[in-house]
Amino acid sequence: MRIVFEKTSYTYMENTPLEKRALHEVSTTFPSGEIIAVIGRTGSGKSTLVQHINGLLRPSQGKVTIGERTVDPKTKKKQIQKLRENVGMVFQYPEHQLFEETVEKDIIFGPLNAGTSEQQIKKQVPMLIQRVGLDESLLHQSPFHLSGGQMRRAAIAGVLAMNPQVLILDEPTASLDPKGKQEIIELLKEWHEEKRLTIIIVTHDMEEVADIASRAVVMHDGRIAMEGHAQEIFEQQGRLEALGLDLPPRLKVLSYISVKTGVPFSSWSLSPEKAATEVNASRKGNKDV
Amino acid sequence: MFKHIIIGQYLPGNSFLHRMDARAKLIAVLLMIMVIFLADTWRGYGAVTVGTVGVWMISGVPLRYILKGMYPILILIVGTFLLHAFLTQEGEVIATVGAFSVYSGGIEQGLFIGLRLFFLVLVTSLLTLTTSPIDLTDGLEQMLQPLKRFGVPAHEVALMMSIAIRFIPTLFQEAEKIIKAQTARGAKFNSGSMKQRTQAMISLLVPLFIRAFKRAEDLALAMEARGYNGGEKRTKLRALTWRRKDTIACLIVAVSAVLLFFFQR
Ligand SMILES: Nc1ncnc2c1ncn2[C@@H]1O[C@H](COP(=O)(O)OP(=O)(O)OP(=O)(O)O)[C@@H](O)[C@H]1O
Ligand SMILES: [Mg+2]
Repeated sequence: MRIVFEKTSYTYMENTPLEKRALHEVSTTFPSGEIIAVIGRTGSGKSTLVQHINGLLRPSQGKVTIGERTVDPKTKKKQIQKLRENVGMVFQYPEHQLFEETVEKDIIFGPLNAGTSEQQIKKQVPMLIQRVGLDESLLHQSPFHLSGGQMRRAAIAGVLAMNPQVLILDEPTASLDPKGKQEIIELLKEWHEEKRLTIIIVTHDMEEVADIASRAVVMHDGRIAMEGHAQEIFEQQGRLEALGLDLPPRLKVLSYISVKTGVPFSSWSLSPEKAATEVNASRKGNKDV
Repeated sequence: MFKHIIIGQYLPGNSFLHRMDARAKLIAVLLMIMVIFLADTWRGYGAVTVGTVGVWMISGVPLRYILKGMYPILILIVGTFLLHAFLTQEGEVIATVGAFSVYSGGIEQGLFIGLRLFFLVLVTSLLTLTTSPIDLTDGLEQMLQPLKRFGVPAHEVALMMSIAIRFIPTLFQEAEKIIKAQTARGAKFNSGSMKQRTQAMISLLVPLFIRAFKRAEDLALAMEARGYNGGEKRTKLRALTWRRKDTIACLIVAVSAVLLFFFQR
């Protein structure tokens, strides 16, 4: 599903002394079927932006169109309910939303609410739990006895179980170890290849999305500061740094090599091996001339 | 849903009330609460209204903000009113609804109790809205000091209060986050059948409590790790200062309270 923001503004605590404008007339389009990275400094409005996509927040001004549905300041709550069945959302620290007696019950909470029959969804649970990298034996344990990383996966499985057409993840890898991060990203990549859904990942860490995002949006102070192909965005290091973003170490190394050797890399997310191959190839090329 | 809860909220500012000593404010609020409980005639409530509105006017807190924050409490107030209106059997019968008769005394009682609740919340909200939590607990601790002789753990009580006050907004923020997360999973808090709503409530309360206990544990550990061992010989970073205007403010409230007591008959 395509998502279009048109001059969307949002103000928290409107009409109180604590009023806080978190989005300023944001206009952008998230094309259908892509993986989009939303990056930006803390407090730049990333979470606020993505919570408009499943109607958790309604714009104060402007509108958001998700597929066929439009949400504007006047949209009724009833109409939004349908939207939620198509848009899955994994929040920052999703493990805080676990509540059922067993992991299995927690996973099927979403689909049951959407009206799927218990039998039907229970058949899919073993597949889901495997996909998120958990052991099937955990299904009948209390979710509160899992480790932090396992909880995170169980919570993600609970959202994937709803089989959404748009999947939003707000910092899905926060406070995981590097291996855990990598595994979550891999899982998203596979899920995307299989279902071809639209995935939106909010993150501080460009490196972790560099491999999988095709588009990137950079937020700054409630506005969109940069947007476009992920590769092109990651190349503009000066601007990213000016927006207070930390550049991924790999990108720094590659760009340094590129400047010193004059090799134009084909991508900014090359593995060290590939980068070495390209440097060698370009040297050979130069000698031949 | 919880956007406008003002209980325990502090609104930084620079009004006369903001600048008053926390102890003076506590004394004044105690007096006002007493007055609110003593008032039981229309003249009494009229005077309470004038007094409270006066205090609000020097607080610099926008009226809209207060009223919005009192909205959830309004339900309680209306409920109390209805209960009294229907169950008190004094005065003349005004109307009959089914098996119930409404008496004039019931309406009056209902209005009084409703107003009483309203003013109680208003006055205490004005206190917390204009006093930072630290000042509030410091003030409380000092006022409880004399009771230490009788075994009242003044410091501990103050600490407990300050922690509770400190975490009320956190709890609401957390609740809002969990509500969002469960709503995204299709939980129905405001629509749906009784069963669905109950289910939604459970999906909110279980994580909320688990997080609260976890946080309490973390806090206790962190305090112990930093060598906290009760209030013995602790000094304050910021001392409260009692000025002449604090004495005057307290006197004004006290004199008004006494006057009201005679005036309302
Ligand atoms: N519930 C709320 N009430 C009031 N203000 C809020 C609320 N949530 C966010 N804000 C404010 O809105 C602004 C944008 O917040 P948002 O959560 O969208 O930022 P973010 O980019 O997701 O940050 P982070 O990376 O820290 O998650 C911030 O200045 C924040 O203080
Ligand atoms: Mg955020």
